[in-house]
Amino acid sequence: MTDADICIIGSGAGAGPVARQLAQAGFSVVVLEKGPHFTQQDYFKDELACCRRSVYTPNLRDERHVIEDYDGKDASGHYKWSRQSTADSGWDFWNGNVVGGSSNFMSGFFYRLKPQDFHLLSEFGPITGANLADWPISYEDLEPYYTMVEHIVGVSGRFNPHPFAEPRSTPDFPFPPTQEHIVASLFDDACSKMQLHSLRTPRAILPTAISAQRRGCEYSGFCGSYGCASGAKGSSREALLNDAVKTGHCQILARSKVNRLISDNSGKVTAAEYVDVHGVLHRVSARIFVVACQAVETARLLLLSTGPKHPNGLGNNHAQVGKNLVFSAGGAGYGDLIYHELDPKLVQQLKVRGPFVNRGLQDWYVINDEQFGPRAKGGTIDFLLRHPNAINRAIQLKWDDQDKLVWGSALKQKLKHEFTNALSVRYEVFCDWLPTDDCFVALDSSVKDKWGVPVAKIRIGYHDHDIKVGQYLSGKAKQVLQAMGTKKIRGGVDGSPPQNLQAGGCRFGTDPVSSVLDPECRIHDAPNVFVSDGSWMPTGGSVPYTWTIYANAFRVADIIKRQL
Amino acid sequence: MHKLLKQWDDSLSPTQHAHLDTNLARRHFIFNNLKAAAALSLAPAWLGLNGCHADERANEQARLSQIEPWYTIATAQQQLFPDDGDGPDARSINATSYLKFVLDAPDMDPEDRRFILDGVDWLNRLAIARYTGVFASCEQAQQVSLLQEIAKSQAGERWLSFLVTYIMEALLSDPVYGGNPDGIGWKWLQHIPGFPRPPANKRYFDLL
Repeated sequence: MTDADICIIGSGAGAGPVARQLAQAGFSVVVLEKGPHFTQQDYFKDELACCRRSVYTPNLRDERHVIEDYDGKDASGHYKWSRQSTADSGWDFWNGNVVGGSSNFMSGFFYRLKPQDFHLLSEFGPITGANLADWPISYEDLEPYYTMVEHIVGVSGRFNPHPFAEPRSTPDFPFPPTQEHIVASLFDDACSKMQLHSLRTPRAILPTAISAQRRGCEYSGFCGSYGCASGAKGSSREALLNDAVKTGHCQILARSKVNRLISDNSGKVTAAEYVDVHGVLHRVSARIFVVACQAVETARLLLLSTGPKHPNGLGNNHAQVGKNLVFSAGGAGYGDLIYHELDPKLVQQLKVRGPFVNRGLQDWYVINDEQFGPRAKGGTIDFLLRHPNAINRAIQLKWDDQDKLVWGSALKQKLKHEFTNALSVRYEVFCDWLPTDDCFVALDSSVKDKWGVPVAKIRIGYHDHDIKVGQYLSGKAKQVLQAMGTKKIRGGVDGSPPQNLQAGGCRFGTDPVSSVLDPECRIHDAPNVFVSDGSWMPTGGSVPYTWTIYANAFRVADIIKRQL
Repeated sequence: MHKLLKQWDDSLSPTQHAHLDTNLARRHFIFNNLKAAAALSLAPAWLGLNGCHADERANEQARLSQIEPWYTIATAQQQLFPDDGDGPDARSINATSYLKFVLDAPDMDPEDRRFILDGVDWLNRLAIARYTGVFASCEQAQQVSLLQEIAKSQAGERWLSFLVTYIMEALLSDPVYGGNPDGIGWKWLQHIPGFPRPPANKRYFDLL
């Protein structure tokens, strides 16, 4: 007799679908979440809470990561790696340690992968230095689950046909688009002139209420990075875990940090060992375990979970756990709509805060351009307004172009000018972060967290091809910004990973030697353990991951139901 | 560089030097970091805050401005964010009491707290060496000159950077935290806050 049928570690996008579907099917589910259980009554538009203090993420003095970054080459031409704790750098790789995980704080830009993303290697051929691998499943396998997410999590939008549109089993989204900002019209006009296909970005945001708990968007103007106070954002907590708990079959244990999974002589996991908020150790036994801690922490937990059949960590007998970590490559930039150059009526419309731009381009999802080189995988460009956080923006302005501190009236004039003279339109490029031997997760040999457990060391090397693709797309984005009439267009592409977009590290495949998970996201040699966050992805595609993580987690839920 | 500033630089711990290096690198790190409009967490996450009610902060601002080390800090803050006829100044946003509120937080990094408070002593020692009086007793032009001089040292620039960071917080954080009274900073910069705003019983440290 076990404590539960299913024990899920983590509560974000990879966990919610499993908890909901299994609990609704009558199975007993326990969710172990390291962070607190906030509800929509706890989320406010408070920049200090959201973005400047450790409220939704651990204090880095207590729990940190060690980052290994490029540090030039040695005399023999080999890369050297610098090493710095995130407690020293302040570069935080936590993304939301609360019930619902980082899905609470997403912007909800929801794009599906496309069929070619499932077989990048066969479609575009090998790239030297990149560990490309085709997925063992196809887009058709995942399509029903993408559709399921549209309805259950709630995806709003309107389908625009375009050359790289992925096949859909339904004609359009179940929810109409959210309200749009005037910048969307400027973008549409520019795209029309440039003969580009302006896309309405699907959003995991409800435009109108579907229940008392999930009301429509309130258009506060503060979405990404902030927890939602209306329930409109389709976080795992709001859209899935609340449903799971309502069944009476799902228990969420917040502030419960799992230190290891305990396995028996057959290789199966028998219990999750966790420490509660008082520091007391507990164990939960279950028939099935699902690990969904986000890619870095999932790899860390598996590596920490040694056992008789798993001497190097759970599922790590072929040293694949933590390998081929990917982020999202690309870059971002801005163009300014300068008020004094524009019609005053338009300026008033530009100053409206709340509605979304909701526009993107996928005209270069595949690049067919001789100037770039052979046919290659491209990506997605999203267009949005500058993030409205004021304090962070002001603090950035304290440095001048020569990295000297600015203060006094000079600082005040700079603040006044930057905040009041223009509206900044932002673009973000999403392209594949090629998996390489230089991007992985391992256990750090010396740094430990406050419980005395080794922390994750993350090496963040990137492939030069990522930069080339990012620069190509960034150039296209800047052309669009120019056609929109924006000025002071600037942007950058570099190899710094966006730490909120993690995947890989436990890739799935048919060969146990080169993959951690089987095609059903089950650990090859631990048949009662599944990984359902983004870790399974051998390649990440050229869109934000969340919709795909949700979809695959619904698929995993079906697989578990069949296995139980 | 004055020998006092050299000594101040030499007094930095290895961790503080690591922060310096990172801060320099991060100034160029604003584009690719955190796509999808996630947190632009350019602030050191190890900084914490705890505090008292907002209405107490204005009174606290006036009180602190009379006693050390806050008198020196308030004077420096006023140079960093002056009353120049355009927008609020450090005094009107309660910058000093806000800073005390930050430094008194239980999760404030003790080393950073010590560094900020010790900076007052370094600044006054330099003022005495240059002008035979403490910083706050110097003339306006002398104060400006002293701040410009310490900014040329690593430690001095770090100290000023801390002060400016917390002035920006006092200017633009929700008034529930005691700075930005009546949204004076928001109005000046035409910033529209989001909603719902944090109530007094749900400030961020109430959630920890």
